[in-house]
Amino acid sequence: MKLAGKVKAWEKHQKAVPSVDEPNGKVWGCFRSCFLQSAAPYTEGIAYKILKNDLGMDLREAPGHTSCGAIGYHGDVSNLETQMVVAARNFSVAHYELGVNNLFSFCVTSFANYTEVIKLWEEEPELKEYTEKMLKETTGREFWIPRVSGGRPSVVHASDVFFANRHFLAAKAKYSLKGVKATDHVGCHYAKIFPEESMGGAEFPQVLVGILEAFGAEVVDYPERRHCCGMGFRQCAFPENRDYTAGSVYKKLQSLKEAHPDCKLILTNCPGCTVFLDAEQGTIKEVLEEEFNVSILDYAQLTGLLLGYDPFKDCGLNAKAVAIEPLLDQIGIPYDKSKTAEQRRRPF
Amino acid sequence: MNKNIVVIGGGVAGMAAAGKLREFGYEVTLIEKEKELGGNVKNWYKVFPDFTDAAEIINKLKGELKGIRVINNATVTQINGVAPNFEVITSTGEKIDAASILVATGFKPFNAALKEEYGYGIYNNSITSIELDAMLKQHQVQTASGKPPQKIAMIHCVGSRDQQVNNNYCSRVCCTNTVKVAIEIKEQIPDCEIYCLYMDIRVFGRGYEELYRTSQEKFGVQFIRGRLSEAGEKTDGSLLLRLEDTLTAKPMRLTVDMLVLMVGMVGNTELAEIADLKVGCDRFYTTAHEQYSNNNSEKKGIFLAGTATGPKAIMESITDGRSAAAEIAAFLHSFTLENMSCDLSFRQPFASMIAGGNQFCNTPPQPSPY
Repeated sequence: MKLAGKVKAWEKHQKAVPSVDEPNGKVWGCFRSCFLQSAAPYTEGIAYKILKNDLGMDLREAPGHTSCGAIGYHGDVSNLETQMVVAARNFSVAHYELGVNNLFSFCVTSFANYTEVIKLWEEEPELKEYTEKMLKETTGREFWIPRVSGGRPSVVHASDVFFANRHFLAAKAKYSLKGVKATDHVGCHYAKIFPEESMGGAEFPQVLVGILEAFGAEVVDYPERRHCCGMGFRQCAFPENRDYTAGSVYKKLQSLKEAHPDCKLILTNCPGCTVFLDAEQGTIKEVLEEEFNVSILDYAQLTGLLLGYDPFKDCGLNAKAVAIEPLLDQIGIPYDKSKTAEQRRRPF
Repeated sequence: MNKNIVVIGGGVAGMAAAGKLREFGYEVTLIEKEKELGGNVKNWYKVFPDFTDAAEIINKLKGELKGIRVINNATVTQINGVAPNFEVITSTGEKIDAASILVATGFKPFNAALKEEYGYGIYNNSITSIELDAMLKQHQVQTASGKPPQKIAMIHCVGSRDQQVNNNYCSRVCCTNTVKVAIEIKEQIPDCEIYCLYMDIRVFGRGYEELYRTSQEKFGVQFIRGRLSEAGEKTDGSLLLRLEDTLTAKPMRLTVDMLVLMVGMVGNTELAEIADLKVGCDRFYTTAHEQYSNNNSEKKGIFLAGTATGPKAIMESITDGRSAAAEIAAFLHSFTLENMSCDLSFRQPFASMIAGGNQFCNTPPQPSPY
């Protein structure tokens, strides 16, 4: 692989996300993820701690924020018009109630959904007019479009904020990934719907690789890196289709094992990928008696580990199907070895 | 009236036009931006459908340039005046008077790095058809690690018929070129397996279909109607392709030693502003009329030839260059006649192109001498 070619691809797909040392990079409005809240709340928890405590950000969120509604939208339960008004309401609440100009979401699906809505407003003014009118009529609120990336209508994802601040985070890190092989898996809804809104593009995204490199990891590629995790709202929602998800995970991990058997870390930025790439390894182990033991960490979980947060109490690694201890040993992160694995996973 | 004609672009169309114009008795100045004449064709190995050596074509056309002034390493930076009294200024600062101008600036190969999913510029064994042709010319078709490939996939329509890169047109030559290079590879590496992934096979010219058939019957080249989704690199440098066989509607995977991207043509419109030429939505120059004035631009006295007006095969470009030469000769002939008489009505459609009468003639219209 030619690194220069990859850098060239990255240069084509950059977006301007303010870092904490910039005047507009300190105050952020954020949208929580309904999927993470229900399936893996710890990933948001550790992200909050890092952004507030380690980067000193002023994170603001309103009790009146709702889900972006994307699961209903992609599942054909709600329609586009509803999506647009829901998005406009959340933007309006953030700007007029919380006084924020910059917004990010923890979920890649929310990020894609908000981006889609913003692009539709830009390209089809009548939809914007409709939304503005409906927002006023139904909620009495004023319409506002966020302009996060370089002053153009846009929102960003939480991993973009981590990426923009990666060097500050790496400077504070207690542990390094030096000598650790790692790879990335970027959520479809982060990069594949709007590649131009993805840091580094859809094919060779930089957002997670940049974080891994900042922490000193040796980033590797493998043939099935871009293969979907297989979650898909329809697959994971219907038990009859769950074998598709497990099949996809199996295909990916087999490919990684073949190319780099010593790579035991995949960094993710999508709630679905974070949960299913890990959980289906449990299914594969049960059904096929085959183990891959590749740790699937969210960008915030990995950053938290390296900053010295407790793997189980803070980073939420007690709920993973793949045991985290071998990776902790590899990085050199201490944990209480006097306790059993189960005891360690019950820190409260 | 100055009898010099400036031909911009020394590719096959420009050279063919220049040679023919010289034969008609005109003074011709041929301006080429590179140090050698031949345009894109000078880089090719052999050309379809008869495997003529590209060098033979270039030499033949060069041989017709006797008496023509060739300026290499120069581009045109400014064009002043109107026909038949143009002034062409080159990047070397030279001012050349011209009665007429022929723009034959050719095409640019599509930048395959824009199709990021194919990994060009990133994966060592993802190459373009241009790089493959250079390898064939050297009789050194090999992977990045220096081994002869045992399995090659050739992807048609890279940068052509692709809305994603805003190239909706067909580049017309890539299908037949794929067939040609596949045969050449089989001749140089007989045990190499070749898979051509196509959307539609468009082998339209004389002898092209026969070549397509021969490639399968005699050389065993395999054609799969399918679209490449993405390529991933394995640790040994081979590439795992994920594609869809669109005939069976099934996804499939294919591991190859080398991925060849058959890049299409992209319009070269560097002179659009300088020569005041219109550019179509396909980003090639627009002609005065697609059906019957395909060598005329909308600017009087400036003509067009070759791939500057859209993808063409080599033979078509040469024919187009010579056709442009005939148009230019007729156009200049009209000025000679105008000096004798201002009545152009007997020479439609030229009269309609010189709207509002002849601005170069102060005498009132006279009956035709013919």
